[in-house]
Amino acid sequence: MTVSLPGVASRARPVRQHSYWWYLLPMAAGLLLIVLLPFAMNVYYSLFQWKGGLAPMRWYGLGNYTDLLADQQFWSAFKNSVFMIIALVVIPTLIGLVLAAVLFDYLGREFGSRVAAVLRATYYLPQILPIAVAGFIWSWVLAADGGLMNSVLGAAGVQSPPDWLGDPGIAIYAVMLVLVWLQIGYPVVIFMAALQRVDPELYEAAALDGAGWWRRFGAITIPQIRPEVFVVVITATVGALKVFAPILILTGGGPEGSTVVPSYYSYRNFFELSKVGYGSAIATMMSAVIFVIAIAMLFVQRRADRAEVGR
Amino acid sequence: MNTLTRRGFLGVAAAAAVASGLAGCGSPGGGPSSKAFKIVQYEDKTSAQSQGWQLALELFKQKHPELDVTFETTSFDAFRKNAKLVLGGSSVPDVVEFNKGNADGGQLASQGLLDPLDDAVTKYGWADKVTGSMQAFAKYSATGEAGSGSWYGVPNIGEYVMFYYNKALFKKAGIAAEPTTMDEFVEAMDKLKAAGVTPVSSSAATSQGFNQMWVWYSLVSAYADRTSIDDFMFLRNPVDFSSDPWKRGTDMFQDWISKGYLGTKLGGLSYEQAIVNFLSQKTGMLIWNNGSFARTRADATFDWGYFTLPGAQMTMGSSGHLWGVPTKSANKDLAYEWIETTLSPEVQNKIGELGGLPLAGDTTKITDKVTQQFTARFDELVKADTLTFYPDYPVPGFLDFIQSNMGAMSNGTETAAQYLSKLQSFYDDGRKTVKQG
Amino acid sequence: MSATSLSTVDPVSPVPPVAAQRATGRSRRRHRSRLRWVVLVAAALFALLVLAPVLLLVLNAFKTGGDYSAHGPLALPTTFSLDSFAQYLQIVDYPHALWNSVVISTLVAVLGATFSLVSAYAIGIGRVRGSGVLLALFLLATMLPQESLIYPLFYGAQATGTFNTVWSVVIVFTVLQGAFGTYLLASVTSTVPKELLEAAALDGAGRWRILTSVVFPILRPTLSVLVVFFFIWTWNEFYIPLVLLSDQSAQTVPIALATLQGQNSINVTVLNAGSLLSLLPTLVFFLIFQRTLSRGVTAGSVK
Repeated sequence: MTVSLPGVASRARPVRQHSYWWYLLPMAAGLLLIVLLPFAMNVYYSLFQWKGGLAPMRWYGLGNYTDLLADQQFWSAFKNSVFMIIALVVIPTLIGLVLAAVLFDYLGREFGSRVAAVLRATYYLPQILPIAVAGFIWSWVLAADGGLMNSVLGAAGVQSPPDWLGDPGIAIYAVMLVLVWLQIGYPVVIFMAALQRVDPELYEAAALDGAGWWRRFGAITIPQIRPEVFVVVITATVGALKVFAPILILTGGGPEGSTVVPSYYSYRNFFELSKVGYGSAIATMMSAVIFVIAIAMLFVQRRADRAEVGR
Repeated sequence: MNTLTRRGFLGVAAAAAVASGLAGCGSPGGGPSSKAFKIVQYEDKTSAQSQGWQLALELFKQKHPELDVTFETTSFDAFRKNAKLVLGGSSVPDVVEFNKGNADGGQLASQGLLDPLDDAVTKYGWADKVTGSMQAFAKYSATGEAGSGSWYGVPNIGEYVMFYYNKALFKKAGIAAEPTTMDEFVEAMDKLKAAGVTPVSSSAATSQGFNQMWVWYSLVSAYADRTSIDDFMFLRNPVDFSSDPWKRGTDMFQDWISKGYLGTKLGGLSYEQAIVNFLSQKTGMLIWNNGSFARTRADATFDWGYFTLPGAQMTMGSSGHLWGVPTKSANKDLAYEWIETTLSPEVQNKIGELGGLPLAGDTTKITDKVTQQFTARFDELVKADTLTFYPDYPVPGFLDFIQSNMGAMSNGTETAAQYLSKLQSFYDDGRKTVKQG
Repeated sequence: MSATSLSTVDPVSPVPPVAAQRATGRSRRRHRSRLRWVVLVAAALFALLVLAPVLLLVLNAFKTGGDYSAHGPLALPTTFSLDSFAQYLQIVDYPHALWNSVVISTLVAVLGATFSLVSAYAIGIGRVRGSGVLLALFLLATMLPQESLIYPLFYGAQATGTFNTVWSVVIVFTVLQGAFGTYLLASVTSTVPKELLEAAALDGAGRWRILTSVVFPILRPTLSVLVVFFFIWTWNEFYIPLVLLSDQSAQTVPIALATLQGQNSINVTVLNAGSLLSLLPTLVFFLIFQRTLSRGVTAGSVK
């Protein structure tokens, strides 16, 4: 999508132009200082064995990386990342799309936007809770004996409800449930804001053509808010690969290591094992993996953008 | 409609900037005439130790009216994470509370972030107040191993682990008196089970379920002696986990799990849930330390009692957290005075009065009978030198490792033998790493 | 605004235009009116499910510690009590922490949104060279685990003298959140109609003018989202503020809340009460901004 049309610009030249680079300056400077420089330092630390603080830094070259590549536990933790992606990207985005459309496009119209706003606030509430507290509350909900969920299941006649957080085979699913709960508000809010942009006349035309609600949803709503869908999917994927706090609070990587995720390693090495060099290597490696995946998705997004423009 | 105009944004930003300028000015330190003295600690304000420290603060301020004393509260977790950064930075507190153990205190000592306190200890005679195994975690070697070397910290209180029990449920199960031997204890648990009550409230969640670990280590301690514990704890001689007391204690632990003495479905429970299970009368006993004493007194709606593991040779317990003086502290002499104040009779007795297990208090002065007995028991254990500390101290990452295995054993997916062999390799690896320095 | 504009709260004009749509046959109206109630109930039930855990939080904040210990977390309070709140306020300097949090979160929200808009403008509309790489770098900012940033940021803050002031935290989070914001807005700028931009340029508007009078109004809904997100995310941040604000006087609400958790003890009812108090400002902020979230310029303004 070319915007700066040469012909127009030359005609408008008498007006003073700020170069676009000036607009980038604050964030670019910030990025350099707060992100790139620390990341570089992080890579630097990863070449040493270091216990942090005033301990001596012992040169180790790429040793941390070769150790990491051979670390079975780290790589098998990525298996759980797949579950994380399902719980933080796939499910919430799909549910979020439907909810946002229903709220904005149906309930908002039928009952007024106040109702839609109240519902949206409720769905967003989990995102506002401090994660430590959310973890607490869910341990009450998911407790094996007398927890809220099992009490309800028991009342419904289920004989022996599962040990949600204590059974190594099931814990990951319990964690996924909590993550979906946590995440739902994020796509709903973004998509509802995005729906503001959709030209209502598109819907009118479709309705006149006899298209039902679902048809309009698929053919108009989703394509129109495509940029936001991409943003949600990509940022949620990055979040899923990086997710840590909910896991720490809910299960601590247990039971029996069944819910360990890669960033858990980084945390343990930095804080519990005092292996800052190794922890830095893990952080660098994780960033690299996430970067590769995100770039691939960004590439798809740009291509879709360009295709859209070409249409 | 215009709440979001650019001007609106900038207006809010400007107002906030002015406000924050004012907020940022709230940094500590009085006028140029008064010297600043900063104390950083992380105890719960309602705990006995913290209340004792409030008294100490008053006494200290009275002695030094020229000082501007700030008493800051952070959190245990926060300090653990930040200690190395904060103590090595530019605005360092004058005296801090720090966590005992090789992973925390040991690291701070070996990296030179804390000053050795040997001179102050001699000058003030602290070694007479902090005696025996209470000194163990106050001293660290050059490589950061506890148990020997210079003094780096000074504890104020101690801890020990006991079984709280519900007298009403005991009566209902037909248990006549407090068990005094291991056999009687097992018998009591059988009776509780028969009466449909879970005998011991426990937990095994990886992140917060420490009860199982304490049961296991209590059983090991029951058959241990000073040497075997010290070898394990302070990495002295190599430890063979396939022999007693390890084998005996762990086998018993597995036996108790399979007999249902410790409850089921522990993998998802935290210690808080275990405590509530006991207080809401779902279990007959609870294993926990003196941290639950005040709460049980306040919240139990039933008659209760406590005892340490009957018939045990040694008991879990340790000194509390430590006061340390950062190397970069600007007021070291004042810091020593502060520590001395916390060990003074008034403060120690106040802590004792509130059931905080002081190391240098006069137990006979405690007015409440129950608290007095509770504290007297602790004094006995210290005198007899039968405290075995906590099992996760020796090597880094041990807590996570043990917790994971406790969960596995509680779920029945791991046997005692399997656990012991894993324990052997983890411990040996960790020992090597720590010895490397 | 055309008569069929959807969901925009215009307190001035009444709702009737929607009703006009439904004047097509009685039976169809009855069917639709039943359906809308079904959908509403379904959405409300789902909301209740989402709310249920939070209700547990509220429940336990109004109990005394003894009540909670004796009956467990799921029971209703035997007596409705404000003890836990009182205790919390005694233990923690809540007003001070609240002030710190409000200042930091507001600054980050406003500055972050502003810088995001400005950077996204350059990338998305200005199409500066290498914008793809730039976007990737911005995304990188969101990928780094926080532990890896702590040491460098600590040393940086000490070196620049911003350590222990709110500015260190404000700068760090403005950049971190702004990176996300830039990415979001840059993606959305592709939807700004070319015709508008061309028209403005033809009218002799410079880049700044185009930004403020054309791009900004169109992106306002998304900007509102950013302001809300940034405020809430920054409010709940823990580790980096913990490292950069080591004095108690500079504590934020989450850090103050954490002081309630000891090594082997947690005061649950007080923690719950404190969490509610921590939650309320962000909730209020969200509710206030909801109104701006649901207003905004629809595509109809192109005309």
